[in-house]
Amino acid sequence: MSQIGSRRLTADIFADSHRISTQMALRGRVLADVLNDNNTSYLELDIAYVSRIDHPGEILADYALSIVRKDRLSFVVIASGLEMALKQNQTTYLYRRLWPVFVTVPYFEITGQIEAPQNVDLRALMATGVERFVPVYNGTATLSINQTIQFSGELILINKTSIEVLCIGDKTA
Amino acid sequence: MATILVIDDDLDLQQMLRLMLQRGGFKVVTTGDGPDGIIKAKALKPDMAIVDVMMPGMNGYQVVRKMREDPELAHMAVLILTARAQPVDREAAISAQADDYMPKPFAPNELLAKVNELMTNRAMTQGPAKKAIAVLSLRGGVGATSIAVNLALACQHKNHPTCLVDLKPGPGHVALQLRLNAKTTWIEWANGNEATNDSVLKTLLTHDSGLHVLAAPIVPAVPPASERVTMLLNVLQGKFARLVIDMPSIWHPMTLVALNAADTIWLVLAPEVGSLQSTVGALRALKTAKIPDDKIELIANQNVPKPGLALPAIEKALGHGFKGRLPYDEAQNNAISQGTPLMLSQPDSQFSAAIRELA
Repeated sequence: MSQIGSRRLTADIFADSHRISTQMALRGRVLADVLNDNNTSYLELDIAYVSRIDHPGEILADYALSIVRKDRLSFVVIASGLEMALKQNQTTYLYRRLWPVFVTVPYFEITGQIEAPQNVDLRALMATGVERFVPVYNGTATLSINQTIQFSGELILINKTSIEVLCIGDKTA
Repeated sequence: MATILVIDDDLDLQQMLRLMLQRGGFKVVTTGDGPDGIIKAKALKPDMAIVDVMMPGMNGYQVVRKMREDPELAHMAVLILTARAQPVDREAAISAQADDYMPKPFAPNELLAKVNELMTNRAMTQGPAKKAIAVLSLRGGVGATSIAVNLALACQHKNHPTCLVDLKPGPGHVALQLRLNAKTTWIEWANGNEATNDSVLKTLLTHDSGLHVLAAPIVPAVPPASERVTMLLNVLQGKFARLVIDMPSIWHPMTLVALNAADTIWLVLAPEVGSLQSTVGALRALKTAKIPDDKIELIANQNVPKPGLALPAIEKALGHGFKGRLPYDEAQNNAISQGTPLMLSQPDSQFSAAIRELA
């Protein structure tokens, strides 16, 4: 079924204490590439709606021009529009699988699925050389101090440098 | 043909919504920003507004709040359409008093179904007639003001744009029970030189629930001329679907003006001897004033844990059955002192349910 209202990518960007909702025209690139681009440390936003993390539905302010330091972002939630956020690499599916994942970043716990090889190497997964942001599919971020506040999306891109704990695989009994 | 106002800064989306809604049989007006949307809404009186949240300058929540504060627009159906698609955003939309919320992206048939549903609901809740309810007790302390406050909130929650009038010449406690700070009161309006229709509306306070309130002074004043009360009630009855009047406990010409203007009179009594005696007196006075008997509805308010008199005995003594029986609620005193009426703080209580049933 065709959907209306999806020409720009809407993303919720989370820093430690604020939620920034933004809409981006990515001009042919995908968001993950923009975030992982080492040529720039910043992400320019056309429009930003800022909310405090303890009242994330309330819009504190909106600005037509703003810039975000990529290294200070915790994670980015993309509710829908996966194709505008991440390149799909079909061929690697032969060697990789989706793993359940549990990640903590400051103030949030994130669950979802991560794509990684069968014999996953967690050190390699956490390396920031090529990809600064790790994609988590069908993710949910829960505010640790108020678990009723949750953000879900087809994709959550987590800044590896914000990750405190990353647990992968099924829970132990 | 019903008219829908679309307020969205995305011109492509505006165009798509226009085509889709026109195909659905609606007349569509579009605008790209909130302030212009409010101006268009006031000028065109559309049946519904579809409002985006992320717009520069004035966001969608602010637009909806402005609309709800305006008696002319308060009744309009409003759908928030936003790319902020998280559960907290739905709560924010409802808290801004939108009727419903739809996340982007959306399927055309889903939007049309939602629009039709809201239009139908709005038509049902608007009701065919406006109604004014006067809440009266000639004995103080029986809880008439608390009942008026909770009744007004119940009406507002039923999507009837409601105004609560504290018609006491003072001291009035409606504003206190709702934690509203009244800078001007109806007495100042009525005794002022510029008592016009517009100036009545400017004297109104707006509660977070969307309820409009006309406050009474804290310091007692001489009741104004009855003509001013007639004018006041005419203006408010013209603007609001429901008018709830917290009546003064004095028998004065202005009291009779308000009782005549009301469609229904809730005569409140508590199950104790003093209240029973006052109610007997009130019924006689109402009869003398030729207020039709079928306008009067007796409401028993059990304001203490153990009633001093049995309700059937009271009914027998008055020769009048009770229209409503409001149970004792120990949280009532706290609700009054906290400024959070039971209808808001304990909507599931028996007291709130009984008021809702009667509203």
